[in-house]
Amino acid sequence: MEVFIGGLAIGSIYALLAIGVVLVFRATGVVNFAQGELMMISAYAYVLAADRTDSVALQLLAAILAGAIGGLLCYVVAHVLLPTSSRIGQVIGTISLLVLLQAVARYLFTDIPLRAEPWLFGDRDVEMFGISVAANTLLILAVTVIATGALFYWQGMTVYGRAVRAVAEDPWRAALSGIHVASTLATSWAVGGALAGIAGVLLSPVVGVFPTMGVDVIFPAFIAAVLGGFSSILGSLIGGLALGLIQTYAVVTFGGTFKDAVMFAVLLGVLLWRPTGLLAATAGRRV
Amino acid sequence: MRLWSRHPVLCVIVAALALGSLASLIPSYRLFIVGQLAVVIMVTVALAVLMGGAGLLSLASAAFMAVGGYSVIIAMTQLHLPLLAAVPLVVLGGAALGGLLGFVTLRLAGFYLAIATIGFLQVLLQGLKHGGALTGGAYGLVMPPLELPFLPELSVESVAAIAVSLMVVTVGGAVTTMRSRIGRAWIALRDNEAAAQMQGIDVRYMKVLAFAFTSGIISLAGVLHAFLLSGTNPSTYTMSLSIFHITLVVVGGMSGSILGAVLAPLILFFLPETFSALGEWRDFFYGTILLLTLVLMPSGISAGIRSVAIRLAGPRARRV
Repeated sequence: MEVFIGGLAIGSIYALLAIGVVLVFRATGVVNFAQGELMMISAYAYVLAADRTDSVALQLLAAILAGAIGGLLCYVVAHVLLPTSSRIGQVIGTISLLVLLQAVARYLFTDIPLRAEPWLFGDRDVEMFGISVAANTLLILAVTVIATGALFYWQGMTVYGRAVRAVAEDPWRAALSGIHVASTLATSWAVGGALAGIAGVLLSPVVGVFPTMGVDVIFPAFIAAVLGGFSSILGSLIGGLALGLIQTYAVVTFGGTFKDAVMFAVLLGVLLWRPTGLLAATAGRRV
Repeated sequence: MRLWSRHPVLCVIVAALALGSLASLIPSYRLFIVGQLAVVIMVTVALAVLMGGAGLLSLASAAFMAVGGYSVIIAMTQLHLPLLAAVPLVVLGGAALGGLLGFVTLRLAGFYLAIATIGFLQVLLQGLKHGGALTGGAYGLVMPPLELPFLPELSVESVAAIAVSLMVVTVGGAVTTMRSRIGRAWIALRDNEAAAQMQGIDVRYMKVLAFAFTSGIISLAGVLHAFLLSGTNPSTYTMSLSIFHITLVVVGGMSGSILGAVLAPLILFFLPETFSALGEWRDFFYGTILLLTLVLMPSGISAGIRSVAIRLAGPRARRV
């Protein structure tokens, strides 16, 4: 049971990052390789804010704002600086941001991990189903589910969500029907970045804050997104949680050495068996 | 130019020998960097063929360098193969592995492919770090003394000179391949896969071939890299190395042009290394260069040079 909850918790982090990637991909067609770095800068913002203020709300705000600003930075790179570039050019643009953000973090903070305090519950444990679970783990799960639900509502039910999808479908016609394309795109990037910010707040108490913390989780996050078909928010949530469980049980069964190998096997299996993701109805080839 | 088109093999061999022997005149402390430059050029040229030529984005270049470096040492120390047998075997093995990766990922394009190649690199790195005695764990492997039939002990300087020669052969091979039926088929499937298939190009075969070609050359570069450093270390072959290679390809131009792939390492690797000017600003430098190139020179330096060359050649050339 502890393993199960732990797997869901790490899976939630993957899911949050994956949803951020998917959100941006749905709106713009660009895969953000710097998503992990957005998480990293928000984690730094969170720790720095914790040094200066005791208010938890301000700390959270700092982290989420940092993520959102990072997202806007990605927007500027992918759409303002590289508007005419091919998709592959825009993707490589986000790779260059990955390198730069990491370099800045290393320059400012060195490679030594900083410690982050868990908020709200500290190190308390909760008795549940006859076992004790770290309250923080449950918090991670709850936040992820709530964030996913909110996004699901935003994308599926509101006018704004429909505008985002319209822009993704055909920017030119969307503009004709009165949608401000640039701000719609920018919003998607900013929300994607904010999600990375939440992930940063949730992950940093667990592993610490260091410049390469983003690169370590971006590959699982991508797999989670692929599991969900790369364009579904709900799919990414389920994909992330499933991946977290698979990974945790693999580590428990085979040992940590095979962690990446198991994830790669999952990725290859899904890509070969169902390139459109586990949830999607068997559709034509899209990749 | 006419001599080149009539006897390409002869020209390449002569150029390789000439540059190789020229390189051995360079003082030895410089020769080490020149050898490394040759390795980087080989990787960039190979990746330029894959990315620019065939339009497949791969982040696994570091993985194939590791494959080359590790397997040549394993072949020589644990299988006791002579150097001259081990190197071709490793190159063929690397090409086969690359072809296999290409075959498994056939259905993937664009970023899906990039993600799968990242996965391949991660798994390989984990395997190398935890491979026990076979891969030397976190310390890597140490190169045994290098012996050729007529040379008892190969110094680092001669390895560097050989690397320069092999680099010339690689460049020649890449240029010839890109101009051949195969290269044109790659460009066709890069530009429009469906149209290429309509023209009767076997798209699946061509993709696997592109991966095999690139991986073989990168494995050879990995072998030379391990020779130059007299060993391998898992911390060398990270994703940053792959991103560095991609930076060079982007700066060179993602159009399948080999000229850019040769020039980019000269400007971005050789000059900074020679003057050891980067230090801790390395990542800033390469990240900024990558971004600036994408923004200001999206088709790379080779396109820029071509337009300058046409302008210099005057109106007569412009008609062509």
